[in-house]
Formats: sequence, structure tokens, C-alpha cells
Amino acid sequence: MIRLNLKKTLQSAGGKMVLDLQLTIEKGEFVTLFGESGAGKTSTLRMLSGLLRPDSGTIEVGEATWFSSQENIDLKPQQRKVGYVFQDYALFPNMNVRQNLEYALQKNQDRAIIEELLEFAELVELQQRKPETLSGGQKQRVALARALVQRPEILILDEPLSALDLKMRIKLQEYLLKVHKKYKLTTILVSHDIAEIVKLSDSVFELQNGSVVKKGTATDFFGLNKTSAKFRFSGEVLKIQKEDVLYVISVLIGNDIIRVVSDPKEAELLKVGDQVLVASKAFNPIIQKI
Amino acid sequence: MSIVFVTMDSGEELMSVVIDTPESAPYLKSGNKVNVLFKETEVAVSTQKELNISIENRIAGNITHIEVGVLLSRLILETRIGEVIALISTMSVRQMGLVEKTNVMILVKLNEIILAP
Repeated sequence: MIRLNLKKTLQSAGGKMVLDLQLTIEKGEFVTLFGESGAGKTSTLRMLSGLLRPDSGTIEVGEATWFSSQENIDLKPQQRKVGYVFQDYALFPNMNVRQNLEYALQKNQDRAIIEELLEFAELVELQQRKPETLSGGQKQRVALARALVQRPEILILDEPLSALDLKMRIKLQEYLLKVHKKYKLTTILVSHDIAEIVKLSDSVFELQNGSVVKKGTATDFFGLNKTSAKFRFSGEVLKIQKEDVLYVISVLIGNDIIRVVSDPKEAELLKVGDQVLVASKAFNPIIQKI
Repeated sequence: MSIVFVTMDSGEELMSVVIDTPESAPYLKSGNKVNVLFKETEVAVSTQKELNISIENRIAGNITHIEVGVLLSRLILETRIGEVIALISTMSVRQMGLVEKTNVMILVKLNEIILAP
């Protein structure tokens, strides 16, 4: 379990903000921090990983205390078992893929982890390449593998997929889930993409002005459980097309594109790129063995 | 599974069949407020008042506007539960002689009604 109890005065673009945050995350959970920019999400994660010192409070992870202003405890970033993945990859441009991973090794650490991660991230064939020759998705796989070298207990993903196109995003979402399960991580994601959040996370915390204002399971949080409809998916609007007196909306759900008929009144409220809930009653779909 | 009776603010009663039971979904409690949703394409229209038919939800309405398309038509109906839109075939509109101001019954099967607590 991770217990954060933090106070920190932050200087932001809009002036001073006091971050005052109590947050408990269960071990092995995949959680998302959600909220507007400047709400304190990244600062919270930087304090957890030891990159930013809180003014006061405590950080407890399992039985260990990582930070306590009262007891004067403040573990260094390298003493905290945290892997950090940023949106901009933050790879070393002068090192190839393998060297980027090796750089993260601790003294006397077994090097076998490098081979394991290169294999798991499907980077074996790319290991001699420099970052500039890689695609965005490949770079992010390297960044993720590097974050796992020190076998962290906590994985922090700060908008890791927002620079990628939709297809790559969906592929890497699957990959993130695989990593989370295989390495039994407690994963903390910052994301604004509702479909992504619902797909990946167990629970969601909403931050506003430095405090948690709302929390819940991902489906409850976004109101997706608020109908009796059982045949229910969230996705992204790809196309809105008028046909006769109605509209046909194409929605990307996972890897599938489905089409839903919509009355003009409701279609008018939608635009391409919107996150939507598609629902029908459990009584309606037909089911057949294939 | 449950059959849920919903009394609308106007007094009309609608019926819905849901997979949930009061045990699995605590909102299924007498007196609880719910919203009722159904799809425009699931609304059938009849000009006969008394029908021997297995469609449980029936509400009287008046056509205020018809938009006739090539295949489908969009009817806006005024009813006691509010404005209802029905998307039906243009074939039926012609066959039944539906025009604005026609009084009709709208019909929705109970398995088409979604409840939103």
C-alpha cells in the first residue's frame, strides 16, 4: 500500500498553489490521476519519486517510510523503487537502445534483466539503434523498458502515450497492461484520455487545485455504470455521416470499429475525436459461435 | 431478472425488463427516481388505440412534425411524457397515411427500455 500525506506550496503559471493531498493506493493497483493541467498531478508524482521535496508530510510504501518531515527521513530517488516514464521519452540521444537500458543498472546488479527486458519489449533487433532512428512507439517502449531495469515496485506513467497516434496508442495500452501484470507493479498513470483510463485503470483520483476532489472505480468515475444497459463499451468517435433522416456514427472500440445509428439531435452534440459510451440492453445483441 | 414499473412524472406507467434484481442493483427500490431511455428506432407507431399485441408500453401522442426521407422518416411526437422521436420506414408513413396532427399510439417493447438511476 502507498500512503501519501503531502503539503507543498507550488509556484504555477496562475500564481501560488498549496498542494494538500491525502492519497492511498493499494499494492498491485493500476490507478489514474485525472485533472486539469496545473492541478498538481505531476508534482505529486515527482514527490513520490523523490524528485521534488514536500514541505511537510509523509510518504509510506508498504512498511517503509520514504519521506517524513517529522522524522527527518527523505530517501534519495535511487533508493526508492520507482520507475518513471515521461511523455517525451527522455532517452539519452548519444546512447543506443541497449546502452540506454544499461545506464539504468545499479552497481553490482545482475545484467540478465537487460536481456529479459529487450526481449519482452521486442527491442532485441533494435538494440544497436540510436533513439533518433526510432519511431515514437519504439522510443516509448525503450523508455518503459529502461524504467523497469531496477525492478521497481511502483511504475509512474506521466502521459506516456499522448504524443503517439491512435493505432500506436492502442497497441501500447495493451503493452502497459501486460507490463503491469507481469512485473506485479503498482502503476500510477496520468492521462486525459477517458477510453484509455477506463481500459487501463482500476481506480481514478481526480485532482483539483492540489487536492483529491473525487475518486472511484474507472467505470463509476465516468458515470459508465449509471445505466441498466449491460452491453456497454466506451470508445472514440471516428466519423459522423448523415444518411437519410439520421446519422451513422463510427466508433473505435478497442481494435474494432462499430457503427451506431443516431438521431440528428444527439449527433449534433458529437464531434470526431469525442469519447463516447455505446450501450444497449443485454436483451438485444445476438450471439453465435464462430 | 426483474420487471420494473416506472411511474412517469406525468402519471403514465412504463415497464422495463432488466437483468438486475434489487439485490444486484440497489437502485431498484420502490420510490427511487430513474431516467428512462429508449432508442428512436425502437418506437413503433399505431393509429389504432386498442391493439391485441405483445408490446407493453403504449403512450398516446400527436405528430407535430414529419421529416420524410427516402427510406426512413423521422416523426416528432408530443406526448404526456414529453417529446418522443420515432424513426420508422417511409413505407409505413405512406401506408398508414401519417401526416402532421395525426393522433397515434407509440409502442415500445419492455426489453427496449433502459433505466438510468
